Amino acid sequence: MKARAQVIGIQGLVGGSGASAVTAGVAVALCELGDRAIAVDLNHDNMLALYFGFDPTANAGLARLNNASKAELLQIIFESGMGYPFIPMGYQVTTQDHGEQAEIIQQTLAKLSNTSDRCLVIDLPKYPSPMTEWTYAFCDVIVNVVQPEPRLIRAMAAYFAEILPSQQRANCKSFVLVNAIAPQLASHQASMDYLIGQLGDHLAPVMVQRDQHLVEALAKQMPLHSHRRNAQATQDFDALALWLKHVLSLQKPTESGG
Amino acid sequence: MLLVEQWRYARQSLSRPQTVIHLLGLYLETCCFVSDVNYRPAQSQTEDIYSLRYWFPHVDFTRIKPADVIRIVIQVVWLILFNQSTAQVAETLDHQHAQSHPVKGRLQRGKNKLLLSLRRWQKAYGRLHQRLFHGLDQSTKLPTQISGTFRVSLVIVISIVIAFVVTIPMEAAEQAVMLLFFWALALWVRDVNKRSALILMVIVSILVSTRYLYWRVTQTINWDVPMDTALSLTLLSAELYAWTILILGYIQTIWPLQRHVASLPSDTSEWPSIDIFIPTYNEPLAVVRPTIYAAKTMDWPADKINVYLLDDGKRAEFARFAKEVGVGYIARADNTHAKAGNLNHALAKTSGDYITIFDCDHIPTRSFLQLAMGWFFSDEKLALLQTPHHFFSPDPFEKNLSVFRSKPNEGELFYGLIQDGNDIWNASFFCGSCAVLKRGPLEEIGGIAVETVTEDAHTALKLHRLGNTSAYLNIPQAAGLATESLSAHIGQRIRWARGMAQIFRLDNPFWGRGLNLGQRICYANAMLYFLNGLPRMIFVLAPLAFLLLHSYIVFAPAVMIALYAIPHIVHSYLTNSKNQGKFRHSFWAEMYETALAWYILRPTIVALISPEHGKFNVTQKGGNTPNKFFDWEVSTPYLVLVAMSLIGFGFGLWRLFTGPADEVLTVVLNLVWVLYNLTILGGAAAVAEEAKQVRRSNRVQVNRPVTIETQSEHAYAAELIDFSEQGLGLKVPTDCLIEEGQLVTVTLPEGPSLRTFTAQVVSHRGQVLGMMLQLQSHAEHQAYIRATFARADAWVGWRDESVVDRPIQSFREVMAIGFRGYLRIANNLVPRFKPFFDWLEKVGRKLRTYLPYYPGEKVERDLQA
Repeated sequence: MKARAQVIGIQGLVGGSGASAVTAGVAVALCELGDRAIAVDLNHDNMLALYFGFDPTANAGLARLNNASKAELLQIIFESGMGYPFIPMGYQVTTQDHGEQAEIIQQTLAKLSNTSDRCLVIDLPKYPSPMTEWTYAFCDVIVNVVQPEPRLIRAMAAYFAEILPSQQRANCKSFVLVNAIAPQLASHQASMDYLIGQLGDHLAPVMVQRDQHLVEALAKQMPLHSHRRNAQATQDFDALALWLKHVLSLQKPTESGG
Repeated sequence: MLLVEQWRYARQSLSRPQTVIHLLGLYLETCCFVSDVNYRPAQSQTEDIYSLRYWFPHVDFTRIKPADVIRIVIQVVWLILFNQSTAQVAETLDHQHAQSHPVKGRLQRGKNKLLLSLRRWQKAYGRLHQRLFHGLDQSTKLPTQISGTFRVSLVIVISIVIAFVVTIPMEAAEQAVMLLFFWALALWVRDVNKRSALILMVIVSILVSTRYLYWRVTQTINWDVPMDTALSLTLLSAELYAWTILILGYIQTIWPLQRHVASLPSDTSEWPSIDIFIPTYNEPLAVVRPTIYAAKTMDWPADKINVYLLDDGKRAEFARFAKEVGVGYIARADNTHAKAGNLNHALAKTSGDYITIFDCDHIPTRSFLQLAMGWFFSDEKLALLQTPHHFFSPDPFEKNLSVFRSKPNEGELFYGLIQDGNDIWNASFFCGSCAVLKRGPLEEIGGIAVETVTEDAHTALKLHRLGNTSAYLNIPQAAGLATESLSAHIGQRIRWARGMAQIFRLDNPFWGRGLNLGQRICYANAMLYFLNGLPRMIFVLAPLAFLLLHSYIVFAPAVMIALYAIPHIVHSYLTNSKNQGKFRHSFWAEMYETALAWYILRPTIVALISPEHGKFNVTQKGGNTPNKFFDWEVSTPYLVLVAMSLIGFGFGLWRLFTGPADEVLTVVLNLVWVLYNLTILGGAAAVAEEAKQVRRSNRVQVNRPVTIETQSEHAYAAELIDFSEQGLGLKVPTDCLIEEGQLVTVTLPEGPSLRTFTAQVVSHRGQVLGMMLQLQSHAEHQAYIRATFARADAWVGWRDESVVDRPIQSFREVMAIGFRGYLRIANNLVPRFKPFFDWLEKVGRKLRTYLPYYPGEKVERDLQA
């Protein structure tokens, strides 16, 4: 197989678990670590743009591509105020022409991932979606995001029944990340203990702290890293990025072998 | 032209004569040290070797002062005669050459092969050694490779050689040559990081010291004058004692076992049940509480662990607390036999397979049992496993001399080296706390020994006599409070000394059955060590015999004394520095022992004469020192000794100028001796000034990432810089919006999970946040202790152990401490003269800069300011 970019998929196990925030956080943290990371949104609500200070109702984005030419590609890569690159999905009123659109997106991503020293952090649509199968095949590692909340138990059931097997079938490493944890709350503490007991090796060793700074950053329309470097959530994203790099570097030999 | 430019450049900051010296120095440096000016080795360390500053760290070559010439001369003499790092430098350079020359490199590797085979041999020897001396593998067969006849003849040959070396009479010149040879030998192998090098140094040291002692016994006693005879026999007996301790100590620590952790069975149902005893008598509940919480939360199957609070104080408060927390509470009707009786009483009322004992201030880590219990599965005969006593508060020496966590403390020699050394002889003994005992053997010997006040060592001795084995695991897995004042410290040591003397009388390890030779030696050394009070006093007073009474207690020419005594002292220092340097710096032992000598003198003698006397005194812990004060009461004996030494010194000076010419060298020798004694006594006096300590609980300095969350749910990444039972210190970002009085939550990681604690901010200065914990329930307290004091790695890497002992450097420090002691005395006697004393201190500092420095040593520049 040809050398290609490393691809991290971030997927919410339930709606509103903060997958977009994690995508933006990890992508920016990777950039800060000196990697050429690009955040990519594959959700039709186009909300990732918000975390980079862009208007989510803007049209430009992957979904609006007519072909995967280089000229077109340059038109959909944006940079936040601090120079962190990202690619929005593009705002859509209706979703039509799935087949054709998916093909263009696939080609675009393949093109993006041609360079070996690049890293794509993709905000995946919630399972199941028409894009699920090929996006899984495209990723090296998938981080499934949950929050400590009542829907957790059902989400875990779904994860073990369907999502984990399909991610493993697609030959990518699968982890669960606990987002927005407030360990001082008894319910969160209980959820955390439950997850530690259930997940074992599939639990990411880093948890992201619930942090008002994240909300503030969103309100100020800038990435969290630009808003407050020493917030706990920022450091958690840094730690997550470091750990993901470690996971990806472990994966490398098998990739070249296959 | 270049010279003119350099001149101009240098003249910008220097005067004319200074510039001349500076440039000359630079050129000298270029000529002598840098053969190829453009050549710069890659490693920064080797780069240093080429600069004068590396070799003369205390001289500022940019501003050479007239006095520096003296410093340079002293340093050069010292570098040539004493220092070892030259050899290291040569090695590094050799290595570099080897790397650059492929052929030489191969040669080097060839040598490594040789070393490898040597190491293999060493390993094989180690196994043999273990089997010889009750190894761990339980093999009782003696090695068959070496026949009995061979061993006997070997011993005979070696004995003859030793006897020859020790007894051969020599003239001064011959003796000097022989000693210089030994000295060179010791210095040559000193930096070789091999056990064999140490053994060689030990052998040389034993030979030199024994030769000295033989000479002393046979040739230096003046039998003609009765008083001289009496005095010189007194000194001789003290020296005999010191020689015995030296030799026993060498044997004890020649090969520390350094045991690792043994694994437990993976099936937890096979794990044994354990009773945890926490004896207490008069300690406040605040001291006992964390220990109970930590013991309760140790990682062990909950149905197989029982914690008991053994309260000899019979306090209702304690009973209530034990009930609330859910631990057993055992009190008894009387308090016979103090701690030992307390433990025995509980032993009868419980039934666990193993007993773990923690002093009530020793907070165990959660991993204690899992690390300790493994050995009981791999060694059936194991009856006792001891772990080190670690202290998170400074002992009086550390506190009053401000060396906490920077210098090895008094206990480190014992727990770092001696116990590990005992372990190879299967003689590591019980220290009263932080240990696991097997119930069967313990009951077999009738429980904890009650005959003496050091029940711990005596219990271990009894266990060993029945053929049980013991183990020592040198990983700090519990931490407690050190004694908080010199007087309390002395009280504790008096008890130890008395107890050890009692055992020596009542159950002497040299007699009786069941012990192997190594065990007898280790026990004897531990007990004899505490008899050092009398010999130490004799050494302090001995030079006065000549200076005051003009009595020749060593009846020999001064040259011969110097030729015999100095090598004996130098070799024992060199060898001990190599062997113990990591755990005790040179000359510190003298200070520790001198501080105690007077106080343990009487109890040990009384205990030797009538061992039935003496009761258990409880060591005071967890107290306050509201104000700095000088403990006159405790320091009186040293002050008397100081006064006597000073008088002796005065007499010495008088004799020097008025006495006969042939006595000059003797007087000088005695003066040097007195000066040395004065330095050490000053150190002992310096400890008597009790530093202020007002915080209710001791703060443990750490460096760990934590999260702090405000009530507005803003979370910040912070650094935990210290913790105590009641509060936390955090380093937070400067721009975080946290005010005093605010309630915050602090999240501490605990394994894969996180634990949070509510705290109130009490101070916020710059980046540092001080907060008081608001712990509500016992469960919260327990979780907090588990996340701080009881972390498995809480005490790992406590002190930077890479700092090696350097006798000269250490002597400088001890000298400074001695000097500080006199200043403290003076300041407390006549506070009015403080400015004068400050000036004296400055002079003292200045004088110290004349002592040689290790190349590359970091020098505080203010020393010279």
